[in-house]
Amino acid sequence: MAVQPSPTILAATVAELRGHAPFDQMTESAISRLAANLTLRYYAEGSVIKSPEDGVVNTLSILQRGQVVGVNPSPSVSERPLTLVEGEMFPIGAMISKRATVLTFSAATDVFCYELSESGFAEVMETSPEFRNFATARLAHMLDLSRQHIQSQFSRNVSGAQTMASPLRSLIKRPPVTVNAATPISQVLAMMQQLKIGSMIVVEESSTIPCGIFTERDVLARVALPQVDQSAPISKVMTVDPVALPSTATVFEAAKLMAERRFRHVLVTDEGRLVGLVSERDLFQMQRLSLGEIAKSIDRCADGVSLAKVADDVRQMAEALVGQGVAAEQLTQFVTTMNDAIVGKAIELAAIESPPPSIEWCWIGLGSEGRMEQTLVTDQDNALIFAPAVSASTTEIEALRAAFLAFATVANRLLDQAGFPFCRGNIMAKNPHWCLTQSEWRNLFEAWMRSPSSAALLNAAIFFDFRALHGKSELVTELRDWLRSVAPRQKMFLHQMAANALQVRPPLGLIRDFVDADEAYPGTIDLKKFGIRPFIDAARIFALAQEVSATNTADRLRQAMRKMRVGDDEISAYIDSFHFVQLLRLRSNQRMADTDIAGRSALVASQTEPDNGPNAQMANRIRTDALNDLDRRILKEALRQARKLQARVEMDFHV
Amino acid sequence: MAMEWLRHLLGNPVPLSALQRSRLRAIESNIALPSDLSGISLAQARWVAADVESSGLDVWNDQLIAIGAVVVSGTNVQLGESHEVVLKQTKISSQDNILIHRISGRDQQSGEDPVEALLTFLEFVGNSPLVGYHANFDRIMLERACKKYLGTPVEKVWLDLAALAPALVDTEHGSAKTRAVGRGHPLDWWLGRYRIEVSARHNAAADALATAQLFGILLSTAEKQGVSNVESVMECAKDYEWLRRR
Repeated sequence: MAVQPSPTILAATVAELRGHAPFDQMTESAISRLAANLTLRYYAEGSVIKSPEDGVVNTLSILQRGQVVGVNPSPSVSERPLTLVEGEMFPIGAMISKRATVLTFSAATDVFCYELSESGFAEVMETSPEFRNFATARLAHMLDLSRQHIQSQFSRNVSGAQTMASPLRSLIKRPPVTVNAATPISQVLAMMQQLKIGSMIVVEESSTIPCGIFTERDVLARVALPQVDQSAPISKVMTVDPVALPSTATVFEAAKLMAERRFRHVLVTDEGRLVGLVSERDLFQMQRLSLGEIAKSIDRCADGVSLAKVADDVRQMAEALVGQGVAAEQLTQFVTTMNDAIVGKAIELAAIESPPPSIEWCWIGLGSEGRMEQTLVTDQDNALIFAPAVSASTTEIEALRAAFLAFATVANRLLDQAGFPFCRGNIMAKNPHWCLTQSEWRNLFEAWMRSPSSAALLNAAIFFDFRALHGKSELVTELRDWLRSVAPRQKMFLHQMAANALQVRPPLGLIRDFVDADEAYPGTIDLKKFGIRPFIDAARIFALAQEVSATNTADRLRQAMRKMRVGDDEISAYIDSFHFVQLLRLRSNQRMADTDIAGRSALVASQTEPDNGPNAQMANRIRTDALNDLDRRILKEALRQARKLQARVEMDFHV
Repeated sequence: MAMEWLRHLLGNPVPLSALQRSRLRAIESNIALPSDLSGISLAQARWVAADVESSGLDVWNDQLIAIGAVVVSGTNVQLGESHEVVLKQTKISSQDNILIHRISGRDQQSGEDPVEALLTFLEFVGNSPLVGYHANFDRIMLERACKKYLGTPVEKVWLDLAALAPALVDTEHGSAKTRAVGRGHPLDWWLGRYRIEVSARHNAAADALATAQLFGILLSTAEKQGVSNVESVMECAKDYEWLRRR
């Protein structure tokens, strides 16, 4: 006779599960049904729980107590073992695709596992979307949860605040007001006054497809001063083809677009159809600093001191964005956009103080600046390229170089004043080694590739991420085109670069929390060294080998790996992992800046390549036990992706 | 009629209904363990880990208040195949006693009719052996309650983990012979040793779950030592008991 299962036992099981994702998200009824379907089983230390020989997997295990390791039994694979911690499910991929497991899972300590039969698994996949999402899109889903978590923390602090990561849709408060393109100007002005609106969207004849915008700021410049006939159609004075974003775009994207292009309005359209209008005022009602204001104040700067003030605003804004859960990719883009503007202004100011020769030249950003991956605080990594006349003699070239060096010295100084400290490795345009003509750059790069000493490899890692920042960008494009065409043939160089990149292996196998083995910093992991570099290095090598011009790590991975016929899902997993580690690093940096003054100088030091000194060491380190359970597991998954990417490098370059 | 009168005299407050009598007969006819326990491998066996709460520690005079139980088949604790019940009390247990199991006076009074509770529990157990820690206490408590409410003690086979655990696992008490002389460890000692957490200690169901988990460990240990069937597991515990009594 069937009896009701014991509520106490089910409640205790549910309470255990609730400590972990996705069980913390499941509804009460779904998780109770799951609990009633579970069995609890003991495995003595050392015993095998599941192995490929068992054939098609028919139970899912959820680790309740102890540790489990997953080892690839194939002798040809030299992956480090995967350590599973309490709350983790295995082997979830095999369970979904009804195949045998690839890894052999065994008990590293005495272990209790909850076990779920095939029918129980089918039931929970059916009844719980939270469980299903987690199981099918493990990484992507975890990343979402993590972001929601940050956001919810933030909104607890600032209740009701619009976060920068929310969709534009959430800002649209009323349907847009539109007029036909043929409407007379006078009628439009009357409507604007009557409805108390600052802008009017112009649509093509009897449609909702926008073709222009007219704002109150246009009245003075386009109607009143030129004394345009007010009976003329509005299409004569409107701004044609205004910029539009989809309603799913984030508030941040709109803000960035407005700041870059100096707009005050962005149309919101879905599949060409107008759904609303978002103004700068809508975006920043709650925001102390606006991106547009920052961009404008950069334009107004007249010296290093005022630049420093703006640079500080950028930093504060970036920190606020981290707190609001803006994704790492958008955040680094924002910092890069703003820093580019600051660098551009510093160079303009330097050109007034010490004018460069009037031939073609370009200021080059290197390292993280070149990759467009700058974080909160960045030191200088730059160089200069110039184009003397073909007939120029050595003496003439040296005279030009001296003039460019004088100019660069001023620019470097202004940037230092603006809060971008001098590069300790002296990788700056004012260094004669890095202020070169086109052919000098080519010869230098060629020499590095021909004899890849460790110094040459180190330089290549910084310089091959070059990007035009200010001046004649065609010079940089030509250099990039040349490098792209020659690099794939430099097999020995690529091989050495790959070998170099593989020297650092992200730790995975160590106990509950994969800390690295540096005994000076127990319980911590160096995120930059183990979580970021593997992605950056692999992306650079693949880009060079696959004739990809991009310098940004995500772009490089996307473009190069598509050429390598890697699936989009796999590529996304790499990129998401990379961005997650970036975000984690930004967050921990921010926390340091919040908690102590010394943290700030540590932040500056942390950006220096190569890292040294105790401050730099600590700034990139996080305590793994200080992470919440979810972030710890995503980090582990991200490091696993880094290892997978390294395995590809290993295979492709025969290291 | 004479039988009914006799039952009243023995303390059975309400006579059984016809349906209850037939349920009891079915239970009693299905109570015996298979004759050849050595033929049942540990992987095939079904056990019921159980724990009771009572109004005190006097096994002959205190009242049975609650029963918790969970099935162990093979070495798997079947969380969904579990059962818990509070028996309706005519007299509420003392305040000190309530503080131990946390079943309030109101809960004790609104508990299940004892006859129904016991029948349902016995049906849940079927012919499986029961497993407890210091199982004699649980056994006598249940048998006294069955005698009182069902008119018969319904004797079941019990396996005592307090005897099985030290028989299979070396403790700091030394060799099997010397450690057999001691009184053995309390359940909490074993739970601590294996990091088994109890959601609510002295809740019958939670304790039954902990007991079941300890039993899962002991079965897996037994298998490693070549103990492969139900009879041998029973023998292990019996030998230990015998040694201890000597």
